Amino acid sequence: GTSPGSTARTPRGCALHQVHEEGGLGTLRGWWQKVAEGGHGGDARFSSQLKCQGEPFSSETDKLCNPSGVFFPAFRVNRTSEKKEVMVAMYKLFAFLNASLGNITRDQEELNPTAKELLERLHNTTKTTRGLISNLTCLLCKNYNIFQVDVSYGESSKGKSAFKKKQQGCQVLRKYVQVIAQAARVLLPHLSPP
Amino acid sequence: MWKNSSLRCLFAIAILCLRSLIYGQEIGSLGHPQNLKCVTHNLHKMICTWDVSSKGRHGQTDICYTTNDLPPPVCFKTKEKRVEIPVPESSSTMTITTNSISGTAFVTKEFEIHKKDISFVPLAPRILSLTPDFSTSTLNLKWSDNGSVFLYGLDAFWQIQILRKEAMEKVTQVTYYSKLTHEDIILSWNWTSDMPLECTSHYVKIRCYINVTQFVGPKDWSDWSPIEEVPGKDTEPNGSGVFPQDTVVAVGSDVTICCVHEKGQQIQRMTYGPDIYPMIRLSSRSSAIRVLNASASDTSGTNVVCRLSEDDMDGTVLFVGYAPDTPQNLSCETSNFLKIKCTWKPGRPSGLYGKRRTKYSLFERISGKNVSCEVNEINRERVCGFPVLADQKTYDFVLGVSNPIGQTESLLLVDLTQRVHPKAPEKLTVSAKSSTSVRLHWFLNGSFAEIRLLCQIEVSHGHSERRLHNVSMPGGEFSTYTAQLNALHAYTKYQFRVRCSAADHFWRWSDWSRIEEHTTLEAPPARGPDIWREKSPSGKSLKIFWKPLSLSEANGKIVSYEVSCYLLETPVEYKEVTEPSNSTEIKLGKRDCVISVVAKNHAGSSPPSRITSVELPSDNVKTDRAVAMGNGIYISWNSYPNMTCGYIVKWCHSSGSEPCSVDWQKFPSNTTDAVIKSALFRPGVRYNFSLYGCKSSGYQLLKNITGYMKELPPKRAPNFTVEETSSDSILVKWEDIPIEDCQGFLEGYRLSFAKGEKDALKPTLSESGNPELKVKNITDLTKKSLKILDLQGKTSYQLDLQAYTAGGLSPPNSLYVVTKEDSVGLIIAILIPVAVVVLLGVVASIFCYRKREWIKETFYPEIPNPENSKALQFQKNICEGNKTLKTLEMNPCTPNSVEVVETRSAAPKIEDTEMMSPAADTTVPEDGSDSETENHVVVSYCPPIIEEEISNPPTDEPVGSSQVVYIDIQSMYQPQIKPEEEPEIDLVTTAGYKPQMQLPVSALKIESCSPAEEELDKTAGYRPQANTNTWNMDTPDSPGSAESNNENASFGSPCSINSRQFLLPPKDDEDSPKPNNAGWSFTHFFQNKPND
Repeated sequence: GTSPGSTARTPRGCALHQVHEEGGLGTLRGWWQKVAEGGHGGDARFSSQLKCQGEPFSSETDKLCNPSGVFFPAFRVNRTSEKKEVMVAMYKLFAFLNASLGNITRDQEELNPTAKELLERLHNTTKTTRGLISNLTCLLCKNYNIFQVDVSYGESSKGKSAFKKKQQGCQVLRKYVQVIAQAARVLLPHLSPP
Repeated sequence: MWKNSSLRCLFAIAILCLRSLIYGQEIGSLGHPQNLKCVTHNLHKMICTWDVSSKGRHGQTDICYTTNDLPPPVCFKTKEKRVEIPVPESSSTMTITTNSISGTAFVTKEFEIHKKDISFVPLAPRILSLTPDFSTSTLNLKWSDNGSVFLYGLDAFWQIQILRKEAMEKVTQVTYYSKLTHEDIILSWNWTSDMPLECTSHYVKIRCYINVTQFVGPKDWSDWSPIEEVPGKDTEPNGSGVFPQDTVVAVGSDVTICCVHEKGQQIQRMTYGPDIYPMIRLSSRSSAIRVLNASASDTSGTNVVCRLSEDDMDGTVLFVGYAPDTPQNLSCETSNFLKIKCTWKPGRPSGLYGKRRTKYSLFERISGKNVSCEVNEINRERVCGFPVLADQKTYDFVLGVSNPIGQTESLLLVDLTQRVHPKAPEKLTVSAKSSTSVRLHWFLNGSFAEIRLLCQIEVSHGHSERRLHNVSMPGGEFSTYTAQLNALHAYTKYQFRVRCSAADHFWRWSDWSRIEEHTTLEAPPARGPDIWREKSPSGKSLKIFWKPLSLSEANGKIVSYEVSCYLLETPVEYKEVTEPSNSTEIKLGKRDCVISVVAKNHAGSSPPSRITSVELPSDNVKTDRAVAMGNGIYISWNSYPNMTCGYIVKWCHSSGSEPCSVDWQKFPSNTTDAVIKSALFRPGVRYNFSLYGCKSSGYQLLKNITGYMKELPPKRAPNFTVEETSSDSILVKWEDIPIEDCQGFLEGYRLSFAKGEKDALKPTLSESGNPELKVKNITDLTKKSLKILDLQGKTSYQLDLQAYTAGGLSPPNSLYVVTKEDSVGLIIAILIPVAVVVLLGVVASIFCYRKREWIKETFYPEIPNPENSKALQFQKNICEGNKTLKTLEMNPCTPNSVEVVETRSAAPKIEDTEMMSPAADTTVPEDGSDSETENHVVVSYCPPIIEEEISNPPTDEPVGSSQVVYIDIQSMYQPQIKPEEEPEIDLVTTAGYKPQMQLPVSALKIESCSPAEEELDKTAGYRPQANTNTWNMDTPDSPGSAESNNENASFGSPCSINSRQFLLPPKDDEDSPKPNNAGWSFTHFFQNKPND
């Protein structure tokens, strides 16, 4: 879990990451390609999470999981944005996502310790996110000499009631599903090989 | 009477006067004190109050009171109408004097106060604290019992009232009991609300009642204490939420859940899980639902959602589960005396997970040591470890189980030395000690120095039964243990495995170690091989056979056999035969010797097996039959007393082209029968056995035996032939069946016969179920022919011959034989009809001769009577149908048209325009060439008849507009055309009149007309309705028919003889440019007439 607020992230070990530059971009491109094609599993993860929270999360998803009130990092890039700007936005997005997934995973391990499929999906997604962050760190460092990105992590669910944990997880995942699909369309042209 | 009455009246008046003296001061007059009441709160002092009847103004009041203890009255002044004075021991007198404002005494009144009139009412208790615990919805109330005021040991009752909501509705009232201890004690009481305390405000008040038994006056409850309040969230300005939050309740509980919202909002509905519940209004900002008998929730709990206006939602999660079940089958054991492992079954799942899960702890009472157990909620088998404590053998375990709903425990007292369950032995090795013993070594991971161990060694080899050997040994500290196993078989592959347990107090075996294989060392063969010998027919050589030793006898791998021939203990011949041979041949010459065979392996040689080559002569050796037993062959023999060393039954297996392999079986001398069994025996195969008797001087052939393991039906029937047939008998002969086809001892033949023609599909006689089937059973096997008698002449018979054994009937061999004709009968059959005919002829001749005049008169008169002559009448025409044609009726034939043809070159005009065709308009060639058009020029003499049905009789014509004109009646009587004249005479040319003959089914064949015939057609004076020449007399299938133009062919009765055309002209003809068949006209008739 992470505390709410912002922190400065300094991608460390920049030199080590350089060797992964091309591979990192390829991984990102592949991942976003999958996202664009709807194969990243976000929907499945979201519905799997909903199923495990009990009613009325499944039947009244729109109201209960309305992400309007939940924090999500702004993703203000478009096809004409600079590549550097896109990479920073992506970093912020995945940093937030990584923290949120950590919170959701922790909460679900407590609330649904028997939901192996859900937990497995969450763990895998967290791992993927970490990998993407690692690649992004490397790209930012190597190509744009960026060592520090201000990241907002949103509100931690630690200490909140079980209902709030369920609701927050649901809201974040729903927002994630919405944002990620839109982001894929914007980002793919930037990630295309020259 | 009156006297008494007066006295009584006086007495009553006196009493009334006395009373008025006493109470007259209290009641009535102005300013008089009255209604004196005295109450004590502490049994020491009492507060007396009174009323003053006058409302007028008065000054201070003088109070004087006396008690029994204090005779001088105590007086003082007061302005109040109450006074606090000591509680008297028994009674007290109090004088109250009211004074005027000026100070003059107004009224003085004296009150006698008895103790029984004093009320005891404790002071209202004061709540020291009211503390809410929102998580458990519990209120904690604290107050002082004020016991220091009272005597020790008084019973105190505390009535506590809980109120709720703004309207302070009473929720509950409980009475709490305590004993006063003459000290001020702070009492505490907890109350758990059925509604979360956040939902609305709760209020508490308390009063008491002290049961002072010694106090004689009336006792009463104290006043209520001031109300203490626990405000709900709905009283907080921004308080909102759904309560309780994350609460755990037991299945079946009744739960109240409330939704507190901010001012201005409205609750739309509240749901528990998927269900909407009716709401209970608690305040303007709070409503609740009541869930009765809550059922177990899902893993993540049951969601309670409160839907507020403007799509706002809030909720909570309720975890409904079970209190922990008492652990079952708690068992503790050690595998190594380092750690105690306790296991149990948790029983019913609590349905609570995560931090609400059931938690276990293991507490050992003797040592006081406690360990918490990390168990997996998902795993049903729970395990908890506890360290083995030094110098402690007995352990008293308490397994504590708890979850938010409840707790329980399970107890177990164990002596650890009696709960030893070692782990599986490791590092098992086997070392050879000799060919029959091995030594096993294994390691046990544990400290077993305190106990003795019992280890079990399992030994198995091949598919034999597993044997267990128990070994007891003192335990050691993480030691290797050794055991020796004896009495094993040499050169045998064994599998070993080991398990151990405590020897003195068996608890459980360890798991088996892994299997270790070991082959024991070789030893010399245990015995010599079983041997037999056979002399060659010449007697000069001897073939020695031996059977290979079994594995248990060989004690190793047999390398070779030593075969020696001893003559008086002197070896005269020696041979070493290597495996796998099991026979050898040695030259004997003319002498006999004793043969010795020794089997050898790497460890040594077997004891020798000996047999003499001497074969004693035998007389009259018989051959007997053995009995098939299905699984073997039973043979028996008489007892031969002089056969001192037993019997040998020898036989030979032959398989295909290979030489037969000798086999034998030895029997002791007291045996007289045996069932010979061999895996090589096959059903239906004949085996020959030789029974030898053993004497000290040699072996003697006693008898031969043949037999089958199982008899089968013969493979085939014997071949048989018919040697001779007569009109009533058949003689058949058959051949022997080869022994290999018999498959059993032949028991006879079965000849079946019955009448029957040869038919490939016919079943065998026995299967046909023929009722005339006769069967002859021939049991005399020497008989090879049979004469079947009593048969019918010139009749076909089917004969089936089968052979049979005890195994059944062979398939049949069939023959069909026709018996010869009976000649005498034939002759008789011919002669009798001939004789009858002759006789009838003779009789008829005689009759005719004698009646010749009468016959002549009757049948051949000289002048015939025309009326009787039917020869002049035509018979009914075939084509007419039913009507007869009276040929002698001469009806006038009126031509329907006459055309005069001036030149022959002019084309004949066909009058029947309807029958005209383009072809008909073509010019007829003068030269009478054989053009097709000529063939089709037919002169019509009758009016056109179109669409006339073929069945219409020609007799219809007379009623028509035209009739046939018979030109030449005489032609009807023309003599029959001789066959030789047929090619020359055309029916058309001669047909002045054509009798209407019935035509056979034929096809019209116009194109086949010869040119001559065509010419004749043209010249025909009278043309009959049909050209019979063109009628093909063949069947439609005949070649001629095939060649004909079938389009114009007609079958059956194709035309009316009276008609000039076919009744059913083919459709094509109408369109044909060259009609094959056109009517003829009178123009032709006239033209042709001269040529006629």
